[in-house]
Amino acid sequence: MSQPLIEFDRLSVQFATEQGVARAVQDVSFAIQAGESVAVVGESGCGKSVTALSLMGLLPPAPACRLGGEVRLDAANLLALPPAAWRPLRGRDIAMVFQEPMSALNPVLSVGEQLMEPLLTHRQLSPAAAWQQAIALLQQVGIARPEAIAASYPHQLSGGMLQRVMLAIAISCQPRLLIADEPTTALDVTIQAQILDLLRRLQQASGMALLLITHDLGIVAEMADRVVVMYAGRVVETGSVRDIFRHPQHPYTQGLLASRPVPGRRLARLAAIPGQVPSPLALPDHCAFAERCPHARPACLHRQPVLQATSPTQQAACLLLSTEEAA
Amino acid sequence: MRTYVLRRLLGAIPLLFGASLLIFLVFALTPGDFIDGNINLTPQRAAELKALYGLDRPLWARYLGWLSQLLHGDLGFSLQHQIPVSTLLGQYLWSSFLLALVSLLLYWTLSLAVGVLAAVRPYSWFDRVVTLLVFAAMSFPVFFLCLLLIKWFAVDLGWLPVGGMISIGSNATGWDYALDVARHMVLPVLTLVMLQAGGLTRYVRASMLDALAMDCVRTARAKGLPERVVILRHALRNALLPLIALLGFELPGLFAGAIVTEKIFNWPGVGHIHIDTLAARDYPVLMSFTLLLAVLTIVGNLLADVLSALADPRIRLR
Amino acid sequence: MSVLSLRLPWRRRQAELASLASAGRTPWQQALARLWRNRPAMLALLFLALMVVACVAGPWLLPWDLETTDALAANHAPGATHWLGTDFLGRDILTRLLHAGRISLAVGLVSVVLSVVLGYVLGALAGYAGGWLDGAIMRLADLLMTIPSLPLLIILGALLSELQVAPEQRIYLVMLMLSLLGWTNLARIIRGQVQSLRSRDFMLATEVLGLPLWRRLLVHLLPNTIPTLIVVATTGVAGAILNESYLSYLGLGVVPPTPSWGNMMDTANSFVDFQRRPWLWMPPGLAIFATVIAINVLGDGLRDALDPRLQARGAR
Repeated sequence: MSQPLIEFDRLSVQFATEQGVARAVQDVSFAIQAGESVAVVGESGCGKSVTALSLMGLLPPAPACRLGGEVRLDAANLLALPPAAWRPLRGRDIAMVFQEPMSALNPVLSVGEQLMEPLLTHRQLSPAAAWQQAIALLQQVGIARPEAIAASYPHQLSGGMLQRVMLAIAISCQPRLLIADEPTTALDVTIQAQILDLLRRLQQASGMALLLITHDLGIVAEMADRVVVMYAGRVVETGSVRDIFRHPQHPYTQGLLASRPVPGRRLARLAAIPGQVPSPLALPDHCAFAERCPHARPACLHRQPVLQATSPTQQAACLLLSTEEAA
Repeated sequence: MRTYVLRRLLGAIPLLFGASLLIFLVFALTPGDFIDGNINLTPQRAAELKALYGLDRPLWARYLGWLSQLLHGDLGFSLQHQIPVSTLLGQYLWSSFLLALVSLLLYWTLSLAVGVLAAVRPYSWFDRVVTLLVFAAMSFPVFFLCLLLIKWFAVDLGWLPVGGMISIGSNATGWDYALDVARHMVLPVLTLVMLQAGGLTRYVRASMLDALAMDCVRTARAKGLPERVVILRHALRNALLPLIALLGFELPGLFAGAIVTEKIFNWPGVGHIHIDTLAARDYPVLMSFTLLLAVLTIVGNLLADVLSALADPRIRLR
Repeated sequence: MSVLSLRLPWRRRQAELASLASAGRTPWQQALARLWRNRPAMLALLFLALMVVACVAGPWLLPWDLETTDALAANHAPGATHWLGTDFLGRDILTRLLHAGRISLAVGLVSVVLSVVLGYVLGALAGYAGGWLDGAIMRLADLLMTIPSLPLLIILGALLSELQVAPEQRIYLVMLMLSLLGWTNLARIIRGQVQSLRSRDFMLATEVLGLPLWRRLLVHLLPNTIPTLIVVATTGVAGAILNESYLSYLGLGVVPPTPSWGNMMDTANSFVDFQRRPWLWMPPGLAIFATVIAINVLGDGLRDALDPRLQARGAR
């Protein structure tokens, strides 16, 4: 494989809180190739958003937040960069779309002004040229009457409209990677489909890579090439979409898939994973899923599993897999 | 937008009448007045004077009489100074206004700069020092601060005049006059700035911390904008919205807060007059000054509403 | 619950994490623990406790009486016998200062208790009842807020002088005055809180459950407003002490022979005393300053401890 665009290498993120250290992300490693779509899946609080924000350098500064490992863009470690060197990469090489379009845009600036900002900063366009470009971008994300929309303020637009604007801002400098953090969670179902469709078209047109953060397996199946499943701050399984959906190896992934309603299949009730995600303040030294795992064995309460290949394209971190192998 | 302003304007009118009634009642129900307080008058002469000033009429008639006077722009006649109240206030209002305006400009600049810097680096040593100073400023009794400043800078060091607005016997004109006034202003302005800057800085810091935690500030950072732009354009603009509303309260607050300062520094302002005429029970002056403050407050509130509406597109473009 | 959803402000997220870890402890215990860790607030509390003890017990322990005059010891500078010196009648300044402290602290506390009761009841009533009652109470508050409090207090103080109230009773009237003008701020805040709490789901649930009105109010609604009440009341004491000192300094509040920190500073109006005998007016000034700053720091600590989400807003 060629040089990956992005590489997470044993990334760990810790937050200092009043009550102790919260280990939000631990030992996370995966890569994103140019043009590839990678989905990070997991429940709320599993560390997927924190992983994405570490790539943008948007986590709170030390000592509130401590980072370990490396995050590489074109083989250069971003975490070692001084803030001034990191800033120009944001918005130009890596762009991000957030969950809440309503609050992600500044209420006191017009949509056009906010859309022009990255163009003025990264591409040094003249204000007039940036305005023209902003209008063109709004057209590109499927907004009719772009001039009127550019002159309006966020509170005057609907959520779907605002998310289109966010996408326009994100692609304005033709980034090589777009991070979309739950981009449709806050939207109505019909709008969700439109935004996902737009996202896919934009990706095909520009060839940018996509890092999609979601808890919705339906979106994963539709959008992603590869899947990274996270639980309690760790990667528990990774593989191609086909691998993950056809033969999930980790009990947690199996549980996630089983708790998803499938059209046409009638069940008395959906399978739910019992128990709760452990607090990041009190993570165990053994497998964090052991207490909830239907297949847990005594060994699971003593050791931390590591990712291992189960096929050329799939890896999982579960002690059950290694004992089976050893046996 | 226009209906919004109109609604506010209509809401202010009953408040004005209410304030005038409250002020009238406080004074009318106070036993003793200018005439009772003057022991040189014979009972007969006192009764004549009461009739002359209309003090023998029933309460409601006196209120309506006062109100109609006010509506004709007549504030009454100062019993102590023997000139119309409007003339008297006119003489002293501008020096009060000068003091208030200079202080206002200075402490808003100071509080904005310090508050924003403290919020950008919360819990840094700078923030801690600012917090300490803010608490000190909020806890100083005005008169004690005035006295300390006078003792140190005017009496012990002799750098600045003890009080007044111009040097005694000075007939300087032009630049010399302005310089003389400026020298006399230093200490009262310093007092007012120190008093007001504390609370405002705290407010600016809190408002800025809220703004910096907004999602749109994170978006601005994600766009790769320089930190200066993120703070000044994205965060500060949002932080200013609640502060604009505050600006409307400031002027009446300054006039009221300057009463003690003006008195101690012997500054010829309306607050000073207020305390002096209190001893003489010069009600027309006292009532007019209090009413002036009430009007300033109501107008200030109105102005604050309109200004925040203009600054916030969510209200402006509803 | 989203533990690390990064949309939340940072401190709130910390608080959320904290609440996860300390599950099982009541919010009040957590608040106390937070207050205990706040060093400036604890220092302020210690200082205030010492101040109260000194003011209450001090005058008994010191060998002088409030009114003992000593012509031979008049206008002495601070020294071994009279630690803070004496005034023109030879009265011991420290004794007077501690006596005055009793008065000033009592006026501050009592007037705030009164205004808090008034403001809380009116605010909760306005917020819960709504309608014309809400309108009436809030218009009254608006009206009182149109006139800045200091000039109004000055006028009311002059009124007391006019009525020739005896100095001993005057203290109570000053307390009453301060509380009658001081309730509006709390009433507004409580009204807002009650209104927003009322429309929250848990209050709706109590209605669905058919709980009686008194239970809905006393057990479910009002306890949620107590943290705000405590914070506003604490800063209110600081404000009341300051206002009392202004009035008394101008001779319109507590008047001699009853000493208060404000009227003790009246001596600074004589130029000789002001210039030559700073021990007459500096100690009461410093006492007011130190007490008020301690109360403000404590109030800030309480705010942080009771409700980390509440920013330093609204303290003005």
